[in-house]
Amino acid sequence: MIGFMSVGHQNHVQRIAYIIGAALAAWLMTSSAGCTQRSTDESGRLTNATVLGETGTHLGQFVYPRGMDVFEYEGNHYAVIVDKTARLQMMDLASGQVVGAIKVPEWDQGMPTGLTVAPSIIDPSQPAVYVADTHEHRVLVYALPLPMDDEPGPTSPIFAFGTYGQSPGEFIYPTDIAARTNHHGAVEELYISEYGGNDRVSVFRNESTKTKPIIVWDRAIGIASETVDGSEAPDALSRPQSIVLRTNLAGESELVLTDSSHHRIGRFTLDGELISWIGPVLDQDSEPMRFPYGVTILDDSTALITEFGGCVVRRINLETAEQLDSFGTPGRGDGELATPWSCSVINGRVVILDSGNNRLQMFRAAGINAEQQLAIGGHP
Amino acid sequence: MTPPMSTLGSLVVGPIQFNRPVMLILIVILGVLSVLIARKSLAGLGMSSRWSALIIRILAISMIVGAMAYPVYRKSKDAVGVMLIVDASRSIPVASQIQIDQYINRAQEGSRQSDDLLGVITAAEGAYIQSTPSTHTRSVDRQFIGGTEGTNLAEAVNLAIATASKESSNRIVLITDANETDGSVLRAAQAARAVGIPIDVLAVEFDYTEEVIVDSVQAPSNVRVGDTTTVKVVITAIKPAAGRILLSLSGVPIDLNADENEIGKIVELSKGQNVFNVPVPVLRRGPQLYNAVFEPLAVLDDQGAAGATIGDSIRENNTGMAISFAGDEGIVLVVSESEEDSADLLATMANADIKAERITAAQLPSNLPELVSYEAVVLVNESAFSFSSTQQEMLRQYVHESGGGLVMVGGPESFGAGGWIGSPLADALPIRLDPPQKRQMPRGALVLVIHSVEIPKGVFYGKQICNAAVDALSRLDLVGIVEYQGFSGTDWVYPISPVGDRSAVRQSIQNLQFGDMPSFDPSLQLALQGLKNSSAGQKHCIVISDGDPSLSRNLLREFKQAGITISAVGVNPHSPGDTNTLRTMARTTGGKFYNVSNNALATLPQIFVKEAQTIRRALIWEGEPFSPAMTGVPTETMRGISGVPNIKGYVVAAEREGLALVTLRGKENDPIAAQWQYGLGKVITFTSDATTRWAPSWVAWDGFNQFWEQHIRWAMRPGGSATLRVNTEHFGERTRVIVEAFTPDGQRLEFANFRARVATPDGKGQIVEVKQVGPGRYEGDFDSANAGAYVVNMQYRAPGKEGNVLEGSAQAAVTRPFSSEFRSLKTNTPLLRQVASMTGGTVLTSDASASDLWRRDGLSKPITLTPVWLAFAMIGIAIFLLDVAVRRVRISPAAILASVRRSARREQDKSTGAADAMRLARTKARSRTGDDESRARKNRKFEAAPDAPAADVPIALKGETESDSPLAKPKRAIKEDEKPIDALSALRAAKQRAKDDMKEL
Repeated sequence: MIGFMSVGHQNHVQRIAYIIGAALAAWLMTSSAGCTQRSTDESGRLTNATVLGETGTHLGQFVYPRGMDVFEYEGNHYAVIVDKTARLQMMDLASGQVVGAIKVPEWDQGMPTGLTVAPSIIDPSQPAVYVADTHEHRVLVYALPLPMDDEPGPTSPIFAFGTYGQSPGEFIYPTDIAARTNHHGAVEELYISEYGGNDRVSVFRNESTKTKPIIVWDRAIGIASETVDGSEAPDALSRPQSIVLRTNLAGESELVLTDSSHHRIGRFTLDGELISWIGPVLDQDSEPMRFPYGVTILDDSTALITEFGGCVVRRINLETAEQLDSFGTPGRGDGELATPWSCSVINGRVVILDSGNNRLQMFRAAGINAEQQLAIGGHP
Repeated sequence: MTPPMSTLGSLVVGPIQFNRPVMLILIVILGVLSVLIARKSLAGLGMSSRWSALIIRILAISMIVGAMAYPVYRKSKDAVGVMLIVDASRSIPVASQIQIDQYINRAQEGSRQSDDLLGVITAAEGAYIQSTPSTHTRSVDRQFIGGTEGTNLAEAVNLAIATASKESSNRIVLITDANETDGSVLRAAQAARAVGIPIDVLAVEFDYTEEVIVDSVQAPSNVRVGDTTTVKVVITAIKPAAGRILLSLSGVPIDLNADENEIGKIVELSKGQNVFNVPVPVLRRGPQLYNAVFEPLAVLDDQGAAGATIGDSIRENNTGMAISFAGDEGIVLVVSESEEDSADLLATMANADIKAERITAAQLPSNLPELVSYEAVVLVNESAFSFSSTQQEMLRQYVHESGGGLVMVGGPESFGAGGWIGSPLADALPIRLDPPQKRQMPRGALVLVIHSVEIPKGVFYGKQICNAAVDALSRLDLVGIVEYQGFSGTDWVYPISPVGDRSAVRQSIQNLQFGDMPSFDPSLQLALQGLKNSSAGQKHCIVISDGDPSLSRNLLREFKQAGITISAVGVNPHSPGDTNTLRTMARTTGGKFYNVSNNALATLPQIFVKEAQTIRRALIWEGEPFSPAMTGVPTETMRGISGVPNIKGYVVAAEREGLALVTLRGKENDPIAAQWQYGLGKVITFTSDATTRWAPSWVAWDGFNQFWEQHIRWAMRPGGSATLRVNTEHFGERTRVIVEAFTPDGQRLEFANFRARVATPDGKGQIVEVKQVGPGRYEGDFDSANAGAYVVNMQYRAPGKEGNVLEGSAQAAVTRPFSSEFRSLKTNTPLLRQVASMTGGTVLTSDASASDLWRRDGLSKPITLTPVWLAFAMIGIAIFLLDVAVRRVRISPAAILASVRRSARREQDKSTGAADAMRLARTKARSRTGDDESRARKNRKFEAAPDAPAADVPIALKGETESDSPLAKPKRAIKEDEKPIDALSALRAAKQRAKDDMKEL
């Protein structure tokens, strides 16, 4: 509050100082007036996004990362990222420092393209990262936190499963894992998506003992596109790149997947019954989806869809197929995305795996949280 | 405050730099003007207010003028960026490479701070960035380092300068033995000095104390069959040693020790140079390629007794090569895949006493020296796909540099129809393989669908194969390229359009991103639509991929229905499923599938050439037989031929401008037979064939033998009428050619005019100036620094007796068996010291703990400049606005305090009853609107009583009139009816009174 006084009783220097101070304050106020709390600007570019990582082969650097999930451990928030150097890096999201790093055992055929953090199938209290070792046709499981090694070498998983083939329980190119847990946090089922001819989601029952991991193939969801005499079955999939379990508004669990080469999102009951397809066209005001790769469910049962082709992350109402918001625009600069692979949410912050730019981008957006998803696994 | 200093065209005051300092003069000018103006305009103010107003006004002017002077904020950066250049060439022993890595791991820690950057570049034949400057980089992580048989430190230093961070003080650390084979590190160091980057150096110390080098293998350039020649092997040993010499002739071992049951010969080497003469009988004609290898066994002590195993660590320098030519008369090499195609030609040459050998393309000599021993090469109905690009380039060199003759005879697999368009050999032909622009012909359309090439140097190979495919097309053909680009999705990189001069499509290929497409469908859909809409006779699509994108089988059926074939090239498929996807793609559409593994990448361009060839069949003309028209150009080749029989087919090509001569023409003046001189050699093309397929009448024609004999003899390298002895010798990185020439009667050949060229290993070739240096003696020299074979071809003309001209040719071949990289036996420390002293760097020691790569001394901190003119301008404007207010408004801490107290009182008021609150509010409202009687004492502006004392309480919104001002007007008394009834009215009234006051002034 500013007071006023009559002339002649004021120290001149003090007056000038006040005036300059007032001017500076006015300038600061006007210059900051343009700032808003929006997470994107008019073009869709993320504003105030934190960038973690860069291109390279050293710790904290990435070469085409193709799998990421986030988790909380001892009060800190971390991301696990796998890239085309076959390394898994565990990065502290607060500092950007890598606190754990290993390499998958083999990578001659190719590198993993997806991973998920969930409780271990043996010990619910033990967090684990399930790695879709895509080109080795198997799933690797490592205990979290990852050990730290300045020059990570090939590391054996605590267990691995999967073999090449087209029969039930076999894999061609596994892409993602989701874990269904019970009220005690124990994993009851593992869902594994794949492509390359087996485009489907295989469901395995967890029958592990406390000392021995045992999983049993139970059923498959979806069918590979055009394998039925060239016709397109209602539940035909083409490259399901990412899967997640969701509790819908009716309180029922369902499987949500990105049918990426069909440019759509699928909702299935856990028994494999198709609930609905969403996309490629959402509404007339937004661009059709192009190669949706990643999916994350938020607390309000809406979903964040990461579009590899569209270079954008959209928030979608899965019941109404309505686009609620979009984040990011194609580009190389801060706040821009290049072929993003996936995204996750932790502590109210969206973490995008900006694969084409070899980095993570992290930002806050109003109304986005994903705490409830901890309950059903997949993205604890 | 930092004293002002000037940079070039700028003025620095403290952290602010004015880039247009001349504008600051306006501060003085406008300042003086302000003072002058203030004397009048501010005269109505009191002294203190006047000075305040003046100072503020000048301050506002200063800020605005300062903004016009384009101020920038200078901020110096404390981070240090170290660019490590690590010599990865073969001259560095493997053990030293490991030590280097360990040294860096220890030394790079030092005083490193969190924002310090480390970048790594390796230097060998080329320089490659292993890590860009980054805070994350902690060690040397070697990725692709390129060829290691050379050292180009200059390129590495230049690369380090280019990639040095702008946000840090930079230092280059050069770790090398400083044995350069290419470039000049001193010149690069000058560039580093120019940009203020010091180069610290660490010499990789090694000393090969037990090294053995095969210095040279020498053999006469020309020998005769039946002679016994002497091959001289020169070996240098650092220490006395024993070992075995092995010598082979064109890959066949020569038995040097007939008495014992082994082929090699055990020899003892004394310290220094050792020469061994090996007599070798010349049993066959042609090039004699001698290869000597020394196998070290043991060092010898002073008494000559064998000791420990010799530590000869560089095995590459244990070999040497030499070439002799054993010649008699010229031989022509006929390359033909079937005997039938070349049978009549071979018969013709046999009748004409021209010795000829027929081989298939697969049997073509693999090196130029061998090929040079032939006088001419005849390609009969040969496809470009049968030859590697290296062989094609070798054939071109054979003609251009070595003076050999080339005759290309047509057939369905030849010329443009055989994929020769755009090949290295196409430049050597006297016709253009593209059809004439005016010619109306069915054309082909080709679409390339590109997926990411996930192999080492994948982008390089990807672009190379696209260029190869496009090069194989004719200018009239249509080409399009589709790829998946991350941002814009699947799109045409080059929409289907005529190839033309290839510049546009080449530019598009250069811009390819090789995106990782998730699905083939969008790309194939585009290709299908593009090809369907194109007007072409043959339509084809080539897909290059690892096969893991998803694929719609329905789409393949659409291709099949449209008659468009797809050939799929699988590069390193990840699984049988991927292979199956690509195979399905090819099989469904009628194309071909190629499975290319990592070790067969070199075949990729050839595959694409062959594939592109599938749309080139349109270049073949076949129809009613007709007799090609003779152009009547008087040439040796057509001497005595007055007409030629009918042909019924040929490959369409275009006439080449320049010195090419067309002797026979076909439909629409297409060239059938053409010839020209290309470099030192001669080339003939005949676009029809020499069989009954297209020229049945020719085979039966009695002029057939004469026609072909004259053509082949014209193309053959001229024989020599003089006797030449050719020797070569190395000096430094150059080779000298010495020719001793004699006339047929044994006299020394004088005043001969030599034209000489040397074919170099890099395929470029160079002219050799051969000059007479003595009676019958001629010399020339050329650069021979690179490892490989050099073939010198010389043609001469000299005056003979009675006005005759003596002419002929001679060849010589010399070899550099290994790169200069392997001659380095000691570290070039003086050069490194020079680099360090030139740039202000230091010479590091091998003690890593004593080497702090991050020390700040000797580095100039980078300054980042942030424009702040807007801040200046805004502050200036704000002050300017307040300049007005300062004469009306007063700010008082006491007033603020009083206001705070009032607020506090209001809080207390809330506790009173509602009626009391209302009353209080009304009282306050009156107070604010002037109803309160005390208002007269609070607001002198509106107070009528001039003698009332000033009260030190806040009251007014407007300026004031000083009672002691000489220009002050008597204050008006406020009448009862003028009293405002609320705040807004009070303001209006005050404003009106102020206006009245101004009028009165």
